[in-house]
Amino acid sequence: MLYFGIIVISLMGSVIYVVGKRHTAVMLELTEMRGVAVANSIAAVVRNSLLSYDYVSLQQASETPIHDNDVLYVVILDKEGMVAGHSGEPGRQGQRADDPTSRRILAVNDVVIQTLNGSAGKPLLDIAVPVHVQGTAVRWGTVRVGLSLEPLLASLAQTRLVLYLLGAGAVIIVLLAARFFSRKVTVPLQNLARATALVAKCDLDHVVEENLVGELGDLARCFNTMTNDLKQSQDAIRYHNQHLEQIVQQRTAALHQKAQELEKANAELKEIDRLKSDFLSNVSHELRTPLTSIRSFTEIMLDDPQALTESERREFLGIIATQTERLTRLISDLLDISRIEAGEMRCRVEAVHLQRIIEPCLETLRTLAASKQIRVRVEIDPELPTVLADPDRLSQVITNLVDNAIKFTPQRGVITVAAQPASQRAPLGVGPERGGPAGMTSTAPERQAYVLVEVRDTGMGIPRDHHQRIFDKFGQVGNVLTDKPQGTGLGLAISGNIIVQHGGAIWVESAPGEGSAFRFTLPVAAVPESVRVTRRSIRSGESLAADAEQHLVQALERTSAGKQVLIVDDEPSIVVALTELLEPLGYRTVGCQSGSQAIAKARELEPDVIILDIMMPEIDGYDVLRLLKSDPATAGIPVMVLSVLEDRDKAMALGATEYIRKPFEKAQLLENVRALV
Amino acid sequence: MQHPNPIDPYILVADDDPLTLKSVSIVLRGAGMRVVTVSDGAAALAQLRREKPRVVVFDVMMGSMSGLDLCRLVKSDAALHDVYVILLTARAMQRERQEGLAAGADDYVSKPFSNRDLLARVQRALAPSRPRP
Repeated sequence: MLYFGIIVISLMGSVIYVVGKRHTAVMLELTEMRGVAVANSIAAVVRNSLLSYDYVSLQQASETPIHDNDVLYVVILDKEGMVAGHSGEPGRQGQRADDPTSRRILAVNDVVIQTLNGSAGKPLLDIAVPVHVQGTAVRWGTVRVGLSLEPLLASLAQTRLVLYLLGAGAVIIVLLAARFFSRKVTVPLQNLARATALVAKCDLDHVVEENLVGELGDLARCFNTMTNDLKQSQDAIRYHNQHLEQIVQQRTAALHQKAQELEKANAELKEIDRLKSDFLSNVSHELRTPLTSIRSFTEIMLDDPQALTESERREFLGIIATQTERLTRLISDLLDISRIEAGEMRCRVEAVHLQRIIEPCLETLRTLAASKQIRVRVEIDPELPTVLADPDRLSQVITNLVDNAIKFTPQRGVITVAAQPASQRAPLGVGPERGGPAGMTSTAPERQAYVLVEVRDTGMGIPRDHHQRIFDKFGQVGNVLTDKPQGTGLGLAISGNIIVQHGGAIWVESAPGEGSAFRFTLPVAAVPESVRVTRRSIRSGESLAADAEQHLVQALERTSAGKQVLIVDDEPSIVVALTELLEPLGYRTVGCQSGSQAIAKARELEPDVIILDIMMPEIDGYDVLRLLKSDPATAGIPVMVLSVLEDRDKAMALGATEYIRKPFEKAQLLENVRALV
Repeated sequence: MQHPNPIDPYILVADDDPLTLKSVSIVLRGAGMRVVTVSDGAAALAQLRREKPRVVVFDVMMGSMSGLDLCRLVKSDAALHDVYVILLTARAMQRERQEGLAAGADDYVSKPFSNRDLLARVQRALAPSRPRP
């Protein structure tokens, strides 16, 4: 810009200089020509006067052109160089013109033009023209005319001023134009160039000004779009890289964890394997011990019946009977354990009064207790609410706990069986690896009211590190050679599982020498108010009491022992498949293979969920759905339609809660069933 | 039932199951043997020191001391090593049988046993053909 300005200014200056110079020269020449013309015209006039030496006429002639105001003077010289006429100084007539200027003029017989400094230093043009005799070169005199150069100089100065002004104007305009151009084109181009360099250095955050004229604007926009796209793709790559690294890290960690888990699982499996093997050995021992007595005493009685007294025979038969009983109980325990293992332990719960369970249990054990002079006390809260339990299984648990207590309590000890209301299922942390008392607890949702049952003894107590093991299936095994186990140790494992199945918890609190307290909780049987009201409104007139009780049992069954699912499909394999899918997860299932059967079952059982096929002979799924929804007793049961048809809308319009296409995904089906119950 | 006689062969039976003790002693006494029963390892050891039996019948699983330990003690004791040891056990796995024989037992009987079989084994142990120290 600066260079450009200098160039423009110098160009302009030289133009002005040349033009000025040329103008001056031309003007000077014109003035000279005018002066020569004036001098020639005077010369023509004064020729004759010179020839005749008519000095008066010559003086007059010299004064005549003075009217022309830039003519400063007119001097006429004769052929000897004497002043013959002088416009300004008539007195000098007759004097010799002897000044240097005159001498230069007289030395040349031709026109002489000189620039002189006049009075007060004002420049003037002195033009001398020789006056020749007509047709010859004989000089008869000279006419000198002084022309003032001041008007010319003034005019030239004026012209120069105009030129300078014009030049300055032009320079300014050019500079402004240049500046404009630079601002609109050069600077943006430079910016673009700089930005390009930055992009080349991978700096993609730079944005160029887009508000530019014409193609520059387009270029800038394209440039910005390009850097933006580049930046986005680079960001994406960076993100993907990071993500990839993260994934690799995660996967590595997961693999690591998996490996550790596998190792742990392997160790656990080995431990389980060892426990199982010990368990088998122990079971074998436990089965063989009563069998030994049975066989032995049977043989004794068979071999020589006459050698035995009547009382011996009675005693031996009694031994055989009790050992048979022991064997039977053991086998029944083993069956229970295998049921628990297979997840087939079933409890049919109903509202149960604990007194009615506890008393008969204690009755059968009193003889055993009496044999050790053990006192059995019962402390049951008379206001105790009924609990939700399977009476047979509950008896089994209580018998097992009291039997254990008798076994481990020395002579003349005391065993206390107590029951009282409780507000929570278990103290904090019951269960393995949770830091609380050793035991087992259900994971079913916590309820509002429980009953706490306790069997306390004054026995030897159990060391802390044995607490959890005693609830283990193979817990009692330990060192089988020296720690003579009392039974297979299955009793507590079975009892624990039964209690957990009931939605309760079981745990032990004991220390060596301080006796043991086995405690368990059972959910209180509460009648859902809404159910009772609905029932009453539907079946008014019937025996409300009986009805309420029956419904209570049904309601209780529903709430505790797994949700009931009614499976309706004319294809038996589907019913079987769904049953096998749902039963292991704790659902109770009822299958039926026709629409009419489905409606009857739905009314009878009021299941938690109905899984319904559409394409069935006679009454199809849509009709079943209509009938179910039109009966107030069954209208509220969620129905999951499971069909090969693709007509979700129709089923949903008829009141289906969920629609799943066959073939179904197990996980999806289970998720939906879970969501519905 | 015959009365114990000092010249009758003396058999020591150790088992923590009283019913087994009862039936075994009925069977052996019926065959004219003198039987002493104890219900744990420590008592068995004391009884062994008191009077050396011809034959011992040890249960493997007992409270304070296992039959295997007792068997090892007997076989390593210079005064007792020639006592005929019959292990009686409800642990009937092959591995356990080998364990018993490795401990130096002379015979091994699994529960539930036949009375006759047990008696036969004890009688064989008492037979005169058996080399005497």
